[in-house]
Amino acid sequence: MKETLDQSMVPDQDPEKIEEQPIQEDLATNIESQQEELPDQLLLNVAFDKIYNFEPTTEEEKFNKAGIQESLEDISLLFENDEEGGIEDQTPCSTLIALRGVEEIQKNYPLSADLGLQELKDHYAAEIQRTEGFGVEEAEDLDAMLNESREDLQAGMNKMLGSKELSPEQLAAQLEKLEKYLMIKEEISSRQKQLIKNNSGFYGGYAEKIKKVFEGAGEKLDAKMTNSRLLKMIGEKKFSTSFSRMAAAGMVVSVGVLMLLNPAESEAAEDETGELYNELEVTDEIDQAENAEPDQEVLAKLQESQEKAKEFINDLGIFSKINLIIEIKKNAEDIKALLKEGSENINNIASKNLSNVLKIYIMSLDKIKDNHPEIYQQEVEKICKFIDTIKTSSLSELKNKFA
Amino acid sequence: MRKQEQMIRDAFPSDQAGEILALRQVDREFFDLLVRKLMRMKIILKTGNVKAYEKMKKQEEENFSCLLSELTLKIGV
Repeated sequence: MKETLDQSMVPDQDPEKIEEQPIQEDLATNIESQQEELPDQLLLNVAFDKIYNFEPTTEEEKFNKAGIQESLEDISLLFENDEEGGIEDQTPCSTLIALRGVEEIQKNYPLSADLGLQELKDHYAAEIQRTEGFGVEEAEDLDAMLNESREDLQAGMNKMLGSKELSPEQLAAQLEKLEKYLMIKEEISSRQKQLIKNNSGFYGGYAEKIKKVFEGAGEKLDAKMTNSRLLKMIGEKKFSTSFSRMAAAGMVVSVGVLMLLNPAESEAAEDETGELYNELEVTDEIDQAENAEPDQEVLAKLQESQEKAKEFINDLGIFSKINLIIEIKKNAEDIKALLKEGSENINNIASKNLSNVLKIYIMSLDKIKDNHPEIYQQEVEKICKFIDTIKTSSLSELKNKFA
Repeated sequence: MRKQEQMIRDAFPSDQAGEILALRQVDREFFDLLVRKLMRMKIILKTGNVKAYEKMKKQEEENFSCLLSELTLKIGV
């Protein structure tokens, strides 16, 4: 057991040994000093103490105990001082990551014992409420409504807040909370994408090195076969050190972990470079088109209609703007296709607000479509780019653009 | 332990899932280690815990150098 113990998972303390050790005398004596610690650390310590002292009676409990210890270690890193001795910046992101981490522990490692995880989770939620002014659950509900029930968002928010109607100020306050939450979520999401990308690169690099070792011995293996070969060697107990076994497990796991998460997420990270490239190409085309000499009269009309559209957007309330963004996002592909074909059916697919805005553009565009196809094309490209921007921008970025 | 089995089946192509599940009979300790690693990585990536990822990566780098040395010795390059 000692030889094969997962060293990286429990870097500081061997769970088997911990059980044999007398319960750290600091457990009792530390209570006083713990009073002075931050609640983050205090509650984490309580959970650590409880899990260290938990005695598993089944294989499953043993497995869950080790898993909980590893994940609590990972969460505690979020609140540790950095290596230079400075106090690590405890961002709202860290608190939300910690909250989600505890949720994952509860979901993945069920244990009948009370480890104080719920208290820890409640503390993180309260901390977010205190520092950010919104409750995670409330923000989640708003977020879900934005995604799922666009038309009833206003009604849903009113119902949730227990009033028949929201004043514009109340609505703005709610949206402000939602926006903060979405920004934090976006930050976490971008970290996730980066991690998934880094992870593929990290294990990919080692997969290449392993393949080269096999190739050096005359074996030609692809990635999948490398995994099978490693599994076979593991089964035959060919690796004598726990480190090698750990690394072999890491290699095998790396193939699976991306599939276990949403595969679309890992693809999204891969696609980022491609999307950026496409965007640059489109921008380049627009720049070229803008450098050409267009018909001044036609341009003036277009400018006029764009101003009207802008005014229309500015006159919309914040709620309508969000609905508009949602509708554009929802119908983006259809709208882009229609713009490229013509505008006849635009009213059939777009919502009222959306069609009002687009109609102003399209009315002008229709007039110049036959006489000035290049300008028509340029404008269509601009609108398509505008739609792409909406699709890829955050709510706060869009709000700034519309403001 | 059906949850673990399902996790492996969800994450790997069927032939590889079979190979991994067969390991459970041969080397239960290693199988548990592998599933736990899978779950730890999933949680780290899912929550976006960069610090934990960096720590895990550092540990893995040390492990990999051992694996490469052992591989080189064992298969006689």
